[in-house]
Amino acid sequence: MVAEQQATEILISAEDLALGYPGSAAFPKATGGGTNVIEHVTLKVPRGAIVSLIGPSGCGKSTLLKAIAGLVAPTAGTMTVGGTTPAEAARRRQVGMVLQDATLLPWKTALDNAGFLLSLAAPELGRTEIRARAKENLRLVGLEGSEDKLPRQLSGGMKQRVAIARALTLSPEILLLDEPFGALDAITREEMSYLLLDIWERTGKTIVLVTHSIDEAVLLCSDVHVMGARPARIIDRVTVPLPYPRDPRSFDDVRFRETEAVLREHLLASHGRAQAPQRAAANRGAA
Amino acid sequence: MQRPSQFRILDAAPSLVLGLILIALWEAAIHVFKVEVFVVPAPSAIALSLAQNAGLLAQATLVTAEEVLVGFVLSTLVGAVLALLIVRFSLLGRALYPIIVLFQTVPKVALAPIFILWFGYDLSPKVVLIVVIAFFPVTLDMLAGLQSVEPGLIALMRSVGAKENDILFRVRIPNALPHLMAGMKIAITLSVIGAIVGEFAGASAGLGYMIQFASTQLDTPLVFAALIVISVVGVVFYYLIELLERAITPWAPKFDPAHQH
Repeated sequence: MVAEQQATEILISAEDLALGYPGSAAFPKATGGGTNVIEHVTLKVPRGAIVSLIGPSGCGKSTLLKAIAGLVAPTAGTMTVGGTTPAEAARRRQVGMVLQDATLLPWKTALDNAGFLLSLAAPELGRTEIRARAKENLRLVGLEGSEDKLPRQLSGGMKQRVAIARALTLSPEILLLDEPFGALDAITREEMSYLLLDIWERTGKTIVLVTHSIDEAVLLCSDVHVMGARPARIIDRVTVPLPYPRDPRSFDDVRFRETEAVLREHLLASHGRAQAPQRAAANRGAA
Repeated sequence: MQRPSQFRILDAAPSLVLGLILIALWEAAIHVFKVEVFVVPAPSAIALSLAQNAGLLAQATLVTAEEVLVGFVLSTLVGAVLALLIVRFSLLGRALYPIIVLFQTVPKVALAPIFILWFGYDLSPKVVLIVVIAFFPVTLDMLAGLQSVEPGLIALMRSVGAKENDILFRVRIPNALPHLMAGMKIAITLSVIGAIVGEFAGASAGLGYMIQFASTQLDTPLVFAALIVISVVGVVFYYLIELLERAITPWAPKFDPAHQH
């Protein structure tokens, strides 16, 4: 598995990366400008992989994702996406991003919301073409027949599907998701996970997912990058030894439980330095 | 999604019943305590005055309604344009906003005699007074609407190469429309006040002028009659804006004063 991935092309690459926010223009110091959120991060994502960044709150996983999307510029180190800078890759529509909130425009229908970013990125395509692409992607996320609904007529899960369709309509190579199902109930979450697996299998996109759910990370991903806070860094890369396609039965697989246990131990260890290793050791003893 | 209209009539029933009870109590109290008509007229006396002076009141209403309408439209334009300038040109905004806020502390009613001095007795001093009184809530609400756009979406738009004008025209302005409507509802009530104050300060026609004239004659029923007409004018304008709101922002949640869903 590892050898196989090394043979494929690395699409997203970060070397000794440091990230920070410039802060607001008016008050850079007061709004946290000039301080790095993460430092010394190295990350490689092969083309076509589905990987996640997992870690405690405040470990900078969302910031790292935003850097891949070109929304946050590195303060040190290098980051390349498809051989170019993240900002350039975003302008070339190589990256589609889904945020925790669907951030749909309430006055636009599902169809127009799905086509909105493409209409900004490539107005030269024309309204008809943009709508055709948006419609196709709404079908891909299972919203056929809801094209003319306004966001307030959609459930939380459906809104998030529109947000995924909006990202996919850009025809990106990379799909980035920042805790995309964090605001949804447990059953909807799981449904959305299968939807994402389905999209990945059908489109072959490279997917990077930020989550704080161990279950979600193991179910979806081939590789899980575990991040720790204070200092924010990548602690480990855990490969999930489960074959695709994955489905609800994957939860019962002993390899699923094992990977989950490893990740839990990592996260507990990263949470508090003093007690966590002991707790992790006790767990190991019990097992 | 909209409730059927018969429920809307039922919704109004409690207010109607309460209103009729209050009017009946008022009428009874005047007769029981034998209050002089020039102090507090009974509802029946006011109704009689309304009927007798219908022609005069109608003429005055046209004058005042014109002042309110022109003043209100200009207030909305001035208020909205100021908000757009503040958001679009941040340096100008930072310079302008404190001055606008400072201007709000001026008691604008006291400016009425000055405007009469500058602009004469006809429409223009009333319109200027209305704009000065009513543009501020429009500016404030419009600003809130222009700025309450999800930062995540703005970041996504910028990342695919959207320009500031794209963000302004395709997201900020549509997002601000429901807020603008809320500001306009406040502005219309302030516009009615502005017109009446303007007429008090100096006028030869209008409902405010009529109130002042009637009170010098101790014709209190006519004062009340004119007051009722002004209130009706205000309510009609207010609901016209609600209709406009439903037409141009159908996606926005309906304003529901009693929080009933």
